[in-house]
Amino acid sequence: MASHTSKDFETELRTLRERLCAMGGRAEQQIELAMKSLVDSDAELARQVIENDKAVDRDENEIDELALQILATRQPVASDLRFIAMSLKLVTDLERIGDLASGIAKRALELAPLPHLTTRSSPAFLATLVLKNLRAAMDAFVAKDADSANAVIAADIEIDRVNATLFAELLGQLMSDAAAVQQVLPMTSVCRYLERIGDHVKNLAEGVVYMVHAQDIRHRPYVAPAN
Amino acid sequence: MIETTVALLSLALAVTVVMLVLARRRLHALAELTRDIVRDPQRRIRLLEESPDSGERELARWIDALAEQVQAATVAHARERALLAAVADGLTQGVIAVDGAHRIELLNDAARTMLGVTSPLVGEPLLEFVRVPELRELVESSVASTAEILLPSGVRALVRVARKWGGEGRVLLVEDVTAMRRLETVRRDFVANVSHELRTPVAVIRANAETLIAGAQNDPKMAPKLIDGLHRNAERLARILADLLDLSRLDAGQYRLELSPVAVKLVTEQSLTAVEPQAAKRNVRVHVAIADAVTVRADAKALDQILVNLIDNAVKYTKVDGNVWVEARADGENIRVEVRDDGPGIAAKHRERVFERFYRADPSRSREAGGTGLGLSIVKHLVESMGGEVGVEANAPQGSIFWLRLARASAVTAAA
Repeated sequence: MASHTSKDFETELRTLRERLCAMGGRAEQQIELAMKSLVDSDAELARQVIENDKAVDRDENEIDELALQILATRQPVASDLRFIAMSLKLVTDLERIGDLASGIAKRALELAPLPHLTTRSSPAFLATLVLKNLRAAMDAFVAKDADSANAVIAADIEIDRVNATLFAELLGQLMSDAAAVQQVLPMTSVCRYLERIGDHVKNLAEGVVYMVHAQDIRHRPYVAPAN
Repeated sequence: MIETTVALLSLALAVTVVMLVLARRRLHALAELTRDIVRDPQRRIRLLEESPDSGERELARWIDALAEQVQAATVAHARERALLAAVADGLTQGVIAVDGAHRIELLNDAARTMLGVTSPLVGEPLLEFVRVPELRELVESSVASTAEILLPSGVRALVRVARKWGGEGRVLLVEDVTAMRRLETVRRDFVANVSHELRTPVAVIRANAETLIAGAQNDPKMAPKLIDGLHRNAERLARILADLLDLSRLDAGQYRLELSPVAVKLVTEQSLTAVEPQAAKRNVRVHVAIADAVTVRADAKALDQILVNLIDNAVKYTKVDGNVWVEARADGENIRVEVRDDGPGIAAKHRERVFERFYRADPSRSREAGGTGLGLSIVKHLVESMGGEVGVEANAPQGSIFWLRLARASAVTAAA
């Protein structure tokens, strides 16, 4: 079948792409603000992040509806069909990222009145890595660039490594100072949330590869390129 | 008879075919000629002037007129585009124009700076490139509207969808309000803090005076305590007012500074005499490591005020039995003076704001230490009035480093 020519269909696809990008942007912003509330012990900001999560949920519902409507009325094929199928999956991952950012804000709310831990800057570094990867995944989606998406998948290994180091550091702190348990436990949760955001970002990148090359690379160990 | 008719018809047919062939050739030749004279203006001119064929001359004349019109329109179009780009790039406000499919048609220099990009981005889909939900709502909105949004570059921008153009296209005006919003916060905090700082001593003075009037003046045990409180708080008010006056004079440019070569070591030693009682009280050791020859271009009195403020702060906020180091060294064409301590330090989120008036990283502790909340603000103004820079960073493993950078004096002549 020849590629679609309908102008309305083009507009619908563009709207879907733009809405996904905006939702990705909102997810990025939520992580950034949640981490800021944690680092600055800013309870007000943390509450704002938790409230903003409703907007992420609303995005999910609206994008899902739009994608289903396009599927039902246009019956797309080939790359358009892969794009819409991927959109349905992408929103789920972005919504989970929003939930996890909200989780970080909840932990920030618990930590705000407590004295700072000396390792508090470390989750910020992990968050920087995760955010960088999320931006790269969204850029790969916009540019339909499977190579960049593969680079995002590869970078998740580093995120897992930093998370493991951080977790060991926090446990070490707990062993040397049992009184720090009140701060250490929420901190370990923050690290776990960030690591899981990293996993969802990896899912996004796998979706981009599927969208571009029609190749399902999920559940396969990552193999570095030969050169 | 029939034969004659057939012969005549054949002749007519042959003539028609020949004429058709000739006409087609002529048409072909004409098309080639038109193509050549459109492409080659010189040939057009030659034809116009030299062709014996009046038809060819006429054709050349029309095409020449058409070419002139096209060229004039192209020049005018290029000029308009250049003018539009020059006007847009000259604006401090960001301008983004998108077409009906939300692809960027124009992006001026200011908008590029705010988005943190260097490439022109013309033809790129704006909403896929700048992924901000509020921006999408603005562009999609059917009425002219305004929203304040946080761009991924960290810039807080006021975006106004100015008007539609070319059917579904939109023009967006983007204003960077980051500094303005920050100033508003500073002003709001200042008003709240100044009233708090003034109200506290006034409240103590009023309460003590009322207690004395009510009869405590005759109580030999209470009266001296209340009078001492009156005196201390009146002194505090006087200090705050003196500092505020200094600041307003600095703001108004009425604070006269005379820049001359000043030996940093001599001024530091002079400043130390002012902070020695406080250092002795808290058993803080002040270590000075400055070579005799280190000389800056500064106002000696202002530099003394700066160093007294910084060293006094360091002594006050470091731990009891702590250390303060005052050092100076060359830094390119400048001299960097550092006041370091090994106290608890200042959290990163407070560091960028400690030079604001009445800003306190730890309000209870700094009031207890007796500061007016204006010292660092005065330091910043004085250093900047002398063309220098001042800042704060974390000291390793603990404490703070307050530094200032002043121009190195060329002539090494001690000020004392």
